[in-house]
Amino acid sequence: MTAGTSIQKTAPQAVEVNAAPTRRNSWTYRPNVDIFDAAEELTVIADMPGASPDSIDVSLESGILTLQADITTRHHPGAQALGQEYGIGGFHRRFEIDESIDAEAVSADYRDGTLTIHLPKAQQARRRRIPVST
Amino acid sequence: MLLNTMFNNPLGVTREMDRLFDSMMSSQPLGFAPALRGQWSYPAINVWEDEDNFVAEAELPGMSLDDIEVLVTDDELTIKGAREIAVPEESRPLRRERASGVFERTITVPGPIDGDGVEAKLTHGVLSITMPKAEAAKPRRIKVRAAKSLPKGS
Repeated sequence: MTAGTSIQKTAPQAVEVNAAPTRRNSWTYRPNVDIFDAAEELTVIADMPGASPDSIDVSLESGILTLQADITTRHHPGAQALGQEYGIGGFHRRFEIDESIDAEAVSADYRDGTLTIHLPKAQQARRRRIPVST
Repeated sequence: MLLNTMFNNPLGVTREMDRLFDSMMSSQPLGFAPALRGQWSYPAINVWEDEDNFVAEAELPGMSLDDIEVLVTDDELTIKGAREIAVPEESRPLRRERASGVFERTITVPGPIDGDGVEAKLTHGVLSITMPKAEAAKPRRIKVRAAKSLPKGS
């Protein structure tokens, strides 16, 4: 494993930034993410089941989109584990957004454990259709 | 995990039978063993028990209770459903990690379940199923009383 930040190029508009998350308590997981590119906006959808809505933090700073959330550990007092197939911890992921985004208009909503972030493109970045006159 | 299961077989059915109790006996964590047909199990399930209940939890983000069916028979729990992913109109995907498709999974718990008392709830994409143990399966506490000392005969 190499130390520091490595950038994995997958698509021109949204590049993942792999950096050690700055969390200290418990485990942190990478949420599964879909990213869609439409003329007007980029849509980022992340599965973050079990997150407390208040703890979800979405930020776009210097072209880096960061999503993170804390999880309220689901304790079962007096219970004995029979099988543990998945761990419970916070979520963290970062993407470099290589596209002019209208930062003021970014919106996010969390429903049924899924976080959806709308990143409207800045006016000049939108693909313009030029009518061709004949 | 989810990706491998669903993407190789996007419309197919992921079906497996999992002997939870057997797996529990081995030291191998359940989720890291491929299920039948070389596929990963979906959804991943955590199971606990206390004196009165078995409790199972599964992460099913982006689904509503209408998309999920929970079935309990004797000592088996089945979770099945379908997950659809809405794609924004006229968009092109830059990244697809969230899987869609049909799934079904059955686990066995180590004892009979009282089917009438089973409760399932879905909170922020986490399905939690509380399954009361059937009376016969509950540990019975036997009161131990000090035996009266017998009068000493002579």
